[in-house]
Amino acid sequence: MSTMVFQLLITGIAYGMIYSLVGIEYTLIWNSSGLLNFSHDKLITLGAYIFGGSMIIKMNLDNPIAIVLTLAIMGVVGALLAAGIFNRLYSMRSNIFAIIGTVVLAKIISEFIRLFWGSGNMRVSGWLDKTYFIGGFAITSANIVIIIVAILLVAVLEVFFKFTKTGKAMRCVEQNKKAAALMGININRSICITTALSAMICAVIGFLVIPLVNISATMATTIGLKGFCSGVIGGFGYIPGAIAGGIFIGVVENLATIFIPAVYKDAVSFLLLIVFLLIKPTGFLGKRAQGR
Amino acid sequence: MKKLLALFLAGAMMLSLAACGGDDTKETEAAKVTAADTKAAETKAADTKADETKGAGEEKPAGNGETYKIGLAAMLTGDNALNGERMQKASEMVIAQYNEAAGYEKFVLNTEDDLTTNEGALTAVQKLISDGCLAIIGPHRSSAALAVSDTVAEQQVCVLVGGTSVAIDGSNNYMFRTRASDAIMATVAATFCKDTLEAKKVGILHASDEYGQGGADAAMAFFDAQGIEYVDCPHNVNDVDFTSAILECQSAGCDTVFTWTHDAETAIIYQQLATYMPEVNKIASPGLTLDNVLNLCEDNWVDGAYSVTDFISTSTDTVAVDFVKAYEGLYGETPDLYAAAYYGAAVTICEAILACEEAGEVTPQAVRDAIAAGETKTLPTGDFYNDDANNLVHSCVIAKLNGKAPEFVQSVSE
Amino acid sequence: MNNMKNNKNMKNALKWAVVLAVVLCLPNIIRNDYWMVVFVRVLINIVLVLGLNLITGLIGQMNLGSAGIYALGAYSSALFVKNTGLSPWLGLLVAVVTGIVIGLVLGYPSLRLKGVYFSLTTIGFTQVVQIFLNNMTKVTGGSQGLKSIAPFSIFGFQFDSYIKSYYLYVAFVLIAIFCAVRIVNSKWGRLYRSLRDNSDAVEMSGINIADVKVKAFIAAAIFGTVAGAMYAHFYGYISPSTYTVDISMNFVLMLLVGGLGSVSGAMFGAVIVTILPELLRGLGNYYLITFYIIIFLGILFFPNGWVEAASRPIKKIIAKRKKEESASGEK
Repeated sequence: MSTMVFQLLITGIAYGMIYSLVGIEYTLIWNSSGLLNFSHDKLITLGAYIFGGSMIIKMNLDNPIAIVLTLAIMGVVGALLAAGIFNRLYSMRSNIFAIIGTVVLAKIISEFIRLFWGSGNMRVSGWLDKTYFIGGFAITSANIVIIIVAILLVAVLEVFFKFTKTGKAMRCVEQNKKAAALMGININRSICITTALSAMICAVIGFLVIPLVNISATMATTIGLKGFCSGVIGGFGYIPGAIAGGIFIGVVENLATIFIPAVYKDAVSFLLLIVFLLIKPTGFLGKRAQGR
Repeated sequence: MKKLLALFLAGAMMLSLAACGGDDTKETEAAKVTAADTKAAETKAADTKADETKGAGEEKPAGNGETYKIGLAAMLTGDNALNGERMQKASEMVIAQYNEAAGYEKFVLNTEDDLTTNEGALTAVQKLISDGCLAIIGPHRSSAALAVSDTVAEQQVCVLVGGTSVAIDGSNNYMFRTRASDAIMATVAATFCKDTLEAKKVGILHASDEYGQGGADAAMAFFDAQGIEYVDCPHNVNDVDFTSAILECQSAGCDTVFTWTHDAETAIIYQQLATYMPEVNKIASPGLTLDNVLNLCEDNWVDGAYSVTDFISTSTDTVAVDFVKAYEGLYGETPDLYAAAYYGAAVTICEAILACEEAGEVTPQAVRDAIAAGETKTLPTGDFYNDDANNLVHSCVIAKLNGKAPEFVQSVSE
Repeated sequence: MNNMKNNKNMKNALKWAVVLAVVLCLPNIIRNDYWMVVFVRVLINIVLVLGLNLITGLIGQMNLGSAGIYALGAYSSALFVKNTGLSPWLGLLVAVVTGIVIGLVLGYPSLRLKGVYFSLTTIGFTQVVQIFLNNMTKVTGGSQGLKSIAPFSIFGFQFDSYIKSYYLYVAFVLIAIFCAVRIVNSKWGRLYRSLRDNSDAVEMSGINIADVKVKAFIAAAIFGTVAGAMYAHFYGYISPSTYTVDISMNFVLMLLVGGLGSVSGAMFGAVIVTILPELLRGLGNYYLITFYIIIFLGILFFPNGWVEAASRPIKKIIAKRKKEESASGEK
């Protein structure tokens, strides 16, 4: 029993970290532009396809080169999306346009993926697929890497926002667009950078989940929705909240399977989402409760 | 000004009156038209019937005659497009073969996307019927098949579906099943667990949708009857983490794991089984023999696992070998069980149409009857003939994976 | 002034009369079962989108839970009819009651939640509904769904063919439009719009926002559950796999294409989003991506809906002419 609990705990933390990263990735865009990016799960999928489908399987590149190239491509994709689409959507009169705009964008990306890479599933052989046994517990290298990368990424972001000029400007935009504009900060440019950053994080999530879920059109659907839950539960629009919420959901839904049938595992996350929205919409770390 | 206003008002009133009156008459007219419509449709059908018979009778000796439309409703977009692609390739291959034999474009394949939704399936099937198809291949998913069931019965055009759900119970005479039902396959797998694997306790990992549940129900019924213990672990479609289910099986001490689920899930389950329960006996639903799944697995994850399936491309049966060769020659890839199953469906329809032509009457109804009464044909997925429950296929294959290569173990007939 | 208003009214009446005439004649012109199926789909979608318009279009709360409402409507009516053997009309009544219950349940959180929070709750609602429909096999038939659901009938006259269902559903849609127009143009409708534009101001003028919003949700949920019942009794088969967040998004899409907040816009959107993919089928492999790109460009460049976009140049010309006329009149 205790073995099982421990094993579920590890899986829960690893998945929780993934949810956290998803939470961070869309919170960045939300904070900079007030746009809830519903195409984020397809951006994760796109990153995974570029990395696995093209760089590794087709072009046979070395892993580090493939990672750097994919990150660069996804960054450019993000910047282009922001410049061409998000900047336009966020200035529309209702956030309904922004949401549905990104939903349709997701459809376009997923049809593009089908037409470009075909409809079969893919796997990157030898990518983070080792398993270590420590005293009877199985720990996969994917889980270890996920936890390490997630922590590193959060630290890097923290440094970026605190100590670089661009990062500081982005935080200004997040707090008050008008004031930021008056201070001479280019808001559109800031949104471009954030979206590029967010798309790159999506690519990282893509790399990390490949060994867990393989590459397929639906690989990120559930992860994407759970990412939204993590944001709400931890505190919407607040990065530490997204991290805490993600880990919380990951652990709770995994441990819950000890008591309830596993088919209701997803329902646990969504019920938690609803309960938090009704009782504490600010989330447990939330500072602000403004919905746009 | 006031006059103008009055004029407008009068005009508006008259218009609205006219509209109201129009409503009533139109409504009743519509009812009449409906009746007339069906009559017209009947006579029209009779006309085309006559035409086709005439055409077939007159022009056949000249070696050039009627063209016949066959429909294909498949998942061509969305997440299961691979399945639709295989259905389409196999059907097109059959049509090409028969056209070559006829010396002209005798058969035409109309293909429509069903959008992987039930409404989409009904729309696609209805479009194919309206376009004058004599019989329809697909839709693939069981729920889509159930969604079109009433329609095809009403309009008397038959569909050859690949839905393996037990909910397709053979009560519809216009719906033939071209794959062995879940109940048959899962029972075969369960029997194999008992007899060959000598299972004492089985972990059943299955999807909670109609496919996984149907298979699992059949297996559980068998285990109950045989007094074999089992652990029931359902999961939702598109789940990506099965750790808790596998740990449950592990702690319950299962010696055999029985999986009945979709492609992506199968691959992930086998990956996680390799981590947590590497020594356990494994038997899986047909998906495990698909390249689409095996490409996602390492050799050692699946090595030694069994699968109950419709068809394996390494079969030594001559019909199957010829089919594999022809398919590979045409498309440069190995056919999977979907390609094989729908190859059989397409051949069945073409043969039935030819038989109707011979008999001098080619209508959807005649084609249905010809399929129902057709002689036994040996096709890549086994012998095709119709039984009381409108099943065309009655056998399946047990395969063992050697590394990633499925090897034939035995063939099981009903 | 009065004259102008009448003129406008008459023009409107004329417009509606023409549309109605076309709708009634359609089966006789088209005479194709495939298109009848598509049209019935359009009619069902119109009813749902008219309801969605009350929440999303007027109040501006983005409801992504339509699929859940739709599902509960379909299941409540179908299960009632299947288990009791009574008439589908009573099933419809059950669906309406379900709608009221959902309206109360969803309406309550909406009092507290704004914007994205509300959208996320409704997504969660849809997901939970789907998971439960799928796994409560004993009640709902689980993933295999419910089949052989009886069609509507009046005194033994069964609405069992496409054309009969079409006319019945046209009647449903007319009633729905009547209700929707009444709501949109009533005191309520104005209140809803002012809620969307500035809810604080409304609250300060002493109106009980909570009460008003719950009423809107109940109305919208009834439209949704009725559409669900229409779906169940037309198709005769329902299964949980239909009711995904995807179709919720699709309904909002219809609303956007038509233009937020207007009844005719909602109808137009339902027509376009249902029929356009069918028209594009000829493009084969590329038809879906083409459809989405068209819709996407529409959102980016015609955010007020295609109706408005199309009528803008016409209105401009009319306004220009009027200006000229009045100018010449003054001289």
